[in-house]
Amino acid sequence: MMVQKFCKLVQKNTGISCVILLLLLVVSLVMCVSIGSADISFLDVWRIIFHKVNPGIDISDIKPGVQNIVIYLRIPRALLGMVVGASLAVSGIAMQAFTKNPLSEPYVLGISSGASVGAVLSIVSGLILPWGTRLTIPVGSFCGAMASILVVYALSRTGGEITPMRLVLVGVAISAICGAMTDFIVYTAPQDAQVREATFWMLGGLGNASWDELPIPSLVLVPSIMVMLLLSRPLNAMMIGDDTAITLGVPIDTVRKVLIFLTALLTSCSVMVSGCIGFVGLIVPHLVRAIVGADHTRLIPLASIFGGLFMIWADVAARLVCRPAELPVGILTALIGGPLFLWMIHARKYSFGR
Amino acid sequence: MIQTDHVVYSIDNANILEGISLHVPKGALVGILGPNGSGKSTLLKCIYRVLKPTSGAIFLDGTELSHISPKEAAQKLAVVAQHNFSNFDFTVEEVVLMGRSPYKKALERNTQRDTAIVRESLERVGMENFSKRSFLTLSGGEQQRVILARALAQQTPCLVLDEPTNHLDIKYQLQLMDLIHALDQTVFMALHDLNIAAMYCDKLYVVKKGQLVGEGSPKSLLTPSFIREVYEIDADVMETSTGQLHVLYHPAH
Repeated sequence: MMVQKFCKLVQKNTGISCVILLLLLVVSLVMCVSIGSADISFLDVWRIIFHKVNPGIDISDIKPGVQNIVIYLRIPRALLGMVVGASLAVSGIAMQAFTKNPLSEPYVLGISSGASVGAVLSIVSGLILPWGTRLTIPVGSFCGAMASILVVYALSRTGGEITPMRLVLVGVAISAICGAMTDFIVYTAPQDAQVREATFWMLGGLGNASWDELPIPSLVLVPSIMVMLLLSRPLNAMMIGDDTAITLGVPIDTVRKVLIFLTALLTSCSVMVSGCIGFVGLIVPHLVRAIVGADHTRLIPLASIFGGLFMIWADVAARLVCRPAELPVGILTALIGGPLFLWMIHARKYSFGR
Repeated sequence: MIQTDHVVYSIDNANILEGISLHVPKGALVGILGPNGSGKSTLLKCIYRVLKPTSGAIFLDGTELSHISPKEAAQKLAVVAQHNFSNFDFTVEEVVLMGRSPYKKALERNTQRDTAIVRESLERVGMENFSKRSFLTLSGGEQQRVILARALAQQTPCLVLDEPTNHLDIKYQLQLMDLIHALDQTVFMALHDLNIAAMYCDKLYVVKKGQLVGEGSPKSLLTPSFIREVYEIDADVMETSTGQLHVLYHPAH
């Protein structure tokens, strides 16, 4: 079987696989920059990038308009897509370990919509507060995400244990409530509040990407991946059960707190720049698990890179499907993600209950 | 090795354990018996730190549990608990390798020695041919043996088991108990089968309704009147010519 051989190969050589995926990611980034409503050649993209590094390279034959599109629109968009994809994949892994349930994901559990309520609220109130929205949006969306996780966690526990059924149902309810709250705020906000249109929060997209939006999510992502990597072994043990984790020496309460904090942080960062993009945190870890198994030492590095890769290509597809109009990438991830996830439940028979 | 001192555990003012004091000496195989809901599992959970006693103290190797870090405790005490269920697809080898994690720093890789210990542990439970299999596809008994292998891979001086022979057919019950009997570790285990307990344990403790109601060697403890008192059933106790104790139950009607 070709597929099995491939899986074995990736399992054995996780390091090399990561390097290959990273190379693929770099090539993909450049390819994605060149694809769009105005096609720009692959070579020109490289030249524009190298011109930025070394202004000695002559790119005067490329129209300034094209140069601007590449530098101010496409490159930040591709980079943001990469960061958001990786963030969502990692927060998915964190939630799945936390709940011991492969169906967990920030979007499904209503954590993303919690973050968007926080973000929208802080945009509206940011007009009144003296320090402006630059600081209040990240704080607001983080608080929203945190509140959602805590509510989901508190309500889906019965007798000290998280029941999968309750988890998903509570998530649905939280999503609905937060979605309605976001819509309410967006629709009643004063005209000059500059709240992005409601669809942005409901079906996230990367259409608003700019260099300004990159630093915070990137600065959050890198240490988050490192912390998750440090936690690989405890996470493995937690997947078998909390009792098992304790008897294997895992300081479980600390790990839980870290997971909640990281999920809130990663989710809020991606929501505030790209709205609620669903299913990435569900699909990416599942696909990677299908290939390398559940071991976090392999899953975390591979899924972070693959998450970035998945997202930038999903965004390209979203830009191309009904050219010249653009779809929010959230529609696409849901369209790819939903059915794929259903298929995986069917094929792998992940148990939904106990 | 393991000592509990007046351990009380209560939920909502109801005492599940009402001051249990017992002692498991080094190298011994000690069983704890009792009817369903007597508090056996709760006591074991207090010992392996999943539950925190409401009052009283538990000592591991002379040190109070709260003075031992989770990692240190995991290097001293390995556990085979009752439920081991996962939604995630680990291989048998990966599950047993987890037994090595108490010795690992974050990001530290598995060494050849770890792999060798894992292989040896799997051999001891007779699961060496299953190492690449998915844990989820194993039968309950096979999973139980893998979990025991994980506990062995932890290489601890103490082992706590909660009804390890559950889900096992009689061949594997005896095989598993033979294996546990042969260990030079200190073993403390909850059992529900009096015959198995009589066959293998050096010493027995019996709990009922959260209280210790008896302790001693199987021979001195397991008398028809005591069995009647604890389990509310009638039984005969026979000793074979080889000194083997057998409990014969009478039907309830």
